Amino acid sequence: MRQWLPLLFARVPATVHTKLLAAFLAMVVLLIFLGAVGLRELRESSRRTEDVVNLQKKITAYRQLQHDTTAQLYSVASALLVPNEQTLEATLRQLKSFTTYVDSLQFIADDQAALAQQIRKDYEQFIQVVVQVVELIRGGKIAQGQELHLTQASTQAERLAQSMNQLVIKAEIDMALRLEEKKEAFATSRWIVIGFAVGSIGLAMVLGYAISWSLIGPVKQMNTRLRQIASGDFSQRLAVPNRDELGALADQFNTMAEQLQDSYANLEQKVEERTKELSETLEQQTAISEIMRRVGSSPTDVQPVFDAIVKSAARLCDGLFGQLYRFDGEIISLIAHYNLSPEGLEALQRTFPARASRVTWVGRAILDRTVIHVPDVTSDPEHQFASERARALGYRCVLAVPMLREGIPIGAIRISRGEPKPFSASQIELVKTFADQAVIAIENLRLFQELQAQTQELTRTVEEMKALGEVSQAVSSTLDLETVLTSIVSHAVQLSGTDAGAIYEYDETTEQFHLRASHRIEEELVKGLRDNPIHFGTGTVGRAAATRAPVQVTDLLQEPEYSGSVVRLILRRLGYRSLLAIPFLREDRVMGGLSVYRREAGSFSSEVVNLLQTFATQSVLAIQNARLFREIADKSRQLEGASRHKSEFLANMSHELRTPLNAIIGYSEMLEEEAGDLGQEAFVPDLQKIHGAGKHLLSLINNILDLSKIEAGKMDLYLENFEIVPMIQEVVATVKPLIEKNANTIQVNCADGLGAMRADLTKVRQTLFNLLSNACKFTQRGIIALRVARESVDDGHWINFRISDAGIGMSPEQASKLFQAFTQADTSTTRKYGGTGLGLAISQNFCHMMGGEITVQSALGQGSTFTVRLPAEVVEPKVGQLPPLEEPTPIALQSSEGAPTVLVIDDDPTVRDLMHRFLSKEGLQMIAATSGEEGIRLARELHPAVITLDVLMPGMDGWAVLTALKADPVLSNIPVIMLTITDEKQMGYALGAADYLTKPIEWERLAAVLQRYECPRPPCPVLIVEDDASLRELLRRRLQKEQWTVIEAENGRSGLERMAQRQPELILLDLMMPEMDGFQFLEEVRKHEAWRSIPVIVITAKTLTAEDRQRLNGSVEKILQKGAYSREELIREVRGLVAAFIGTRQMARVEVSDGEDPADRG
Amino acid sequence: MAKILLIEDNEMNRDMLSRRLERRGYQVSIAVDGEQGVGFAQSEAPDLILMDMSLPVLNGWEAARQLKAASETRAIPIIALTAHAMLGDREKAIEAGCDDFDTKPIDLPRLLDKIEALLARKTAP
Repeated sequence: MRQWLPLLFARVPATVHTKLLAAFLAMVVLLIFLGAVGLRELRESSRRTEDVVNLQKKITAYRQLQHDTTAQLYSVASALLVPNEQTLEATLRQLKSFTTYVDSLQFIADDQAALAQQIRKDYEQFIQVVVQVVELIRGGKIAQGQELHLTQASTQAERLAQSMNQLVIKAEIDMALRLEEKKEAFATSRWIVIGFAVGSIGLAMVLGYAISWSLIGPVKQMNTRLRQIASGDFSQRLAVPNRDELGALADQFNTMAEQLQDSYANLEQKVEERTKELSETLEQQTAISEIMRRVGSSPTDVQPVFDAIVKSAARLCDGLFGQLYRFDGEIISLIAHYNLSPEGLEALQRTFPARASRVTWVGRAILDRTVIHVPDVTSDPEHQFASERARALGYRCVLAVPMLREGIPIGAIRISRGEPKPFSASQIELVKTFADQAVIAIENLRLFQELQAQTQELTRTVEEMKALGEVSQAVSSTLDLETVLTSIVSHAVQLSGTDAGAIYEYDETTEQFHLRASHRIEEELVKGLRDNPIHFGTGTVGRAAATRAPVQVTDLLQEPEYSGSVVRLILRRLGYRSLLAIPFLREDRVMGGLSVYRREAGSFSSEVVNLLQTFATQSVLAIQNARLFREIADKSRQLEGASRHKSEFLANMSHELRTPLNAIIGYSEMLEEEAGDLGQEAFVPDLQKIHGAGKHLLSLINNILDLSKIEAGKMDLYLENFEIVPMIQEVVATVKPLIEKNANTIQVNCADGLGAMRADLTKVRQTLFNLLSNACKFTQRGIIALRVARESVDDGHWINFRISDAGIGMSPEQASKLFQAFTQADTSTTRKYGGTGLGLAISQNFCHMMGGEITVQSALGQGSTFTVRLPAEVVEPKVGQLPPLEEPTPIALQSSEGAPTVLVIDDDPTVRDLMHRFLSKEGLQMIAATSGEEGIRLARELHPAVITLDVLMPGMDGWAVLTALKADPVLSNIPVIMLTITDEKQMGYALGAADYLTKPIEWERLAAVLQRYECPRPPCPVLIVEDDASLRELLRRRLQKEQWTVIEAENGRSGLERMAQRQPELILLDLMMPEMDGFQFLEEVRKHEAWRSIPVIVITAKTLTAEDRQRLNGSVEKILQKGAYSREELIREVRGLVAAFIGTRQMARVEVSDGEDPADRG
Repeated sequence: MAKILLIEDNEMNRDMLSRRLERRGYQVSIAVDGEQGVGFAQSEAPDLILMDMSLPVLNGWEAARQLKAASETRAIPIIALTAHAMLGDREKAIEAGCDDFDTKPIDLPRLLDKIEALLARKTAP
């Protein structure tokens, strides 16, 4: 049932809806039927119950009737037995009423009609009998009546009672039957109802099962199929028996599956096609990339590339065979081929190389510079020859693609096919690509060969340069001639590719060459050369020297001339065949020679000769250097001796001078005392004069000796700890007579807690004495103050001795010369005040030795203050090294006239010192700043007349400071001189700009700047050198408005060209330009005398990037490296600039204001 | 009065210094070279020696060394006199055993201070 029932249901040609409805209706019908049956059974049961009740009633009636009848009969019988009229009458009436009983019985016993009829009949007979009896009795026939009654009436009555009884029994039996029947009927109807109920449930289940399975089955099947389809199995169909929607769905499904199968099959085919296409493309790509790889990997060997190209092209285009040709503009040659039969190759080799002609396909492709595609050569009547050959070689279709380099044919690729099937467009494209690759390969080869040639050339040059460099280095770095010459000869041998070499030095006196250095020469030959010096004019070297030209022997075995010489014999024995000798010449003088030896015969190339000549030049230099060095060494030895002699002389002299001086000083002093004692007062002043003069002479000698010791670096420090106050007291006591001499007074002010210091006591004392005696000398009736204080700063404790006088003072220029030894600009000072002019120089030197310094502040007529600043703990300086100059704090020279101030911004103390000296010489006041930040601060505070600014500073560099200065409206008009001095090289560079403008240009500022350079006779030419065309344009308009004639240049070089054409009155210059930048431009401009005075306004960027900065500073450094200016030149230039800015009038006034020169204050 | 041995080869210096010292009340004996000086120092046992360093026969450095090496003269203070504070003269003198040092030409008051100081030191302990 499991399969067939759903199948049956599935086969029912009705919709699922209908089926469900039918099933539902069937269920309903069944239920109704079940209800009807139930009802009928109920009715039947009710009827039977009714029957039973009726029967019961009948039985009751029967029993009553029986009872009544029996009683009747009895009474009749009894009445008959007693024949009395009354009784007879009552009996007759009773009988008559009995008749109604019988009637009702007849009515009740309708189903026992026969029996009832019988009873009636019996009853009626009974009555007749009774009536006859009665009659008889009445008739007096009592006996007869009784007889009758006994015979007939009793029997009749008995029969009747029997019938009645029978009726009751019958009714009772009937009722029992009926009850039984009813019981049976109930059981039957119960089973019927149960049966119907079970049947309905079963039917419902069957229907439900059948319908649902008829639905689920196909659905499941569909599901499975769908899965199969999803997994790619389109072949499966749905076998659904359903004739309903599912059937339709299944049909649809199958149709769909079929379609899917179809389309899938289609798709597969397409994919297969596409895959094939792709794999073809891939194959092509692979082939192309493989070829590219080959092109890249073997630029030297192109044959594999060509082979690969032909092979790939032929294979990828389904060609039978392929060829690759090269064309040199005239001749076509076969370079590579693929799959050619031996006969075919032979035929081709007979044809090619050949002049390009249109006879061949390749020739046509090359000459026409186009692709030749002949799908079937036999159908091309034009090419009879070709078609014949095609037949011979078995091809029908031809493709020839030219290889073009920049449109010029350099070859062609040819692919042939066996069958007349045209090449597809993509195949033609492919072959074109291959042709391009072949071109690349050829081009690569050409480039590579060129490169290689150049590299080789370069390598050779580099090697030569390197060798020469090494040699030059050897020449310049070592003065050991042998080392240098060995280096030269080894390089010469290596670079010239020879086997051995030797260098000789020529001795002019003996006219012989002596071996000085050799390379790879056997011991035997060395010995031979040493033992047999070469004479001028003999041997190869000798001849080379004599002829002043290289001499070479191409084959020693072929040269009989010198065959007998010992060296020749050794050379031959050692297997040398050729040699080359280069003479060393200097101004036509022979210095020596270089020989190289080779183990093979043949001449030396000119390159080798040239190279060796270069080495010869180097050797000459080396020999020359060595000789010079020898001379210098001799000289310096002599000088050393002389210097030693000088020192000894000085020591001796001082001793010799001092001995008599001792006597003069001692005796005069003694005499002075004795004269006093003896009362010879008149002699005292004269003796004092002798004493004084002697002392002066002694101090002179001592100073000279000190200075010579300092200069020789032989002045030593003797460090000891001493209390400062007693030392001061001692010095003051010593200087007392001098103080009193000019009626001066001294004020000593020692700060509390001065304590002790560690220094060279003698030198401190000497310094203080010197300064105090100076102060006394230059002050008349004034106060000389000595203040001593201890100062604690970051780097330790310092003792400051400040000596102030109310003397004549000094000009800045004088002050600057103060500490220089032997600078006696004005001898009148010496005459007037005495002194050697060495005291301050010596004192300053002493202080420097102790790590301190003396500074001076002075103004003419206002006295001077000297400050001795010494460390509280002097440390032993390293031998032979003076302590560095203490960094001066901003030096401010007070000027009585309020001279123009120059702010020097520079991080280098040496430069500040230099600028200070130079500026004070110019009579200018100088303020120094050690950093850009400090510079800007001081500029704001002091508003200097000119600022000099170091370009290269750490931290905030010159450009940043410049921009900051120019951005500040208060400071923007202060002229700035960009200046960089390198101390090491004593070189400097000044950016000689009259002013600076910052980008973006503020036009107001431009106007203000231009105002200063007012055009004298408009129109004046102005040159704008600026690479930014738009800025140039803007500037041009502005300047033209101001009546200037504008000349434009986009860089320094063109700027110079324009200047040569027309000299401008003013230059606006950008610093950062391509080709020739502003620095280079300025440098060139300054080389021209006529251009030097043209004011230059520099334009710099306001915001400089690190890169800009690097570039600017790089330019400055480059100029510095070139050695722009010596210090003197630089100072001269700066002087010019400062003068231009400050104005000549002012400068002149300052110069005139120099009074008496008190610089010499020893 | 203190006895001073002056070792000096230069006659003028010798004469001048001895006279000036005698004028100050010292008893001065004279030696003209190092060897003689060492000898006198031993024989005369002066309270103090003033010695030039550049002496003939036996120079001052060597003489000082000998004086300081010998037990009988070790205690006598020596003041070295040199022409000028030449390179390391002072150190050399102290090293050789001299107790003090002065430069010529003589600054008499200074020298007297030094003499007195040394004599005081000698008698003090």
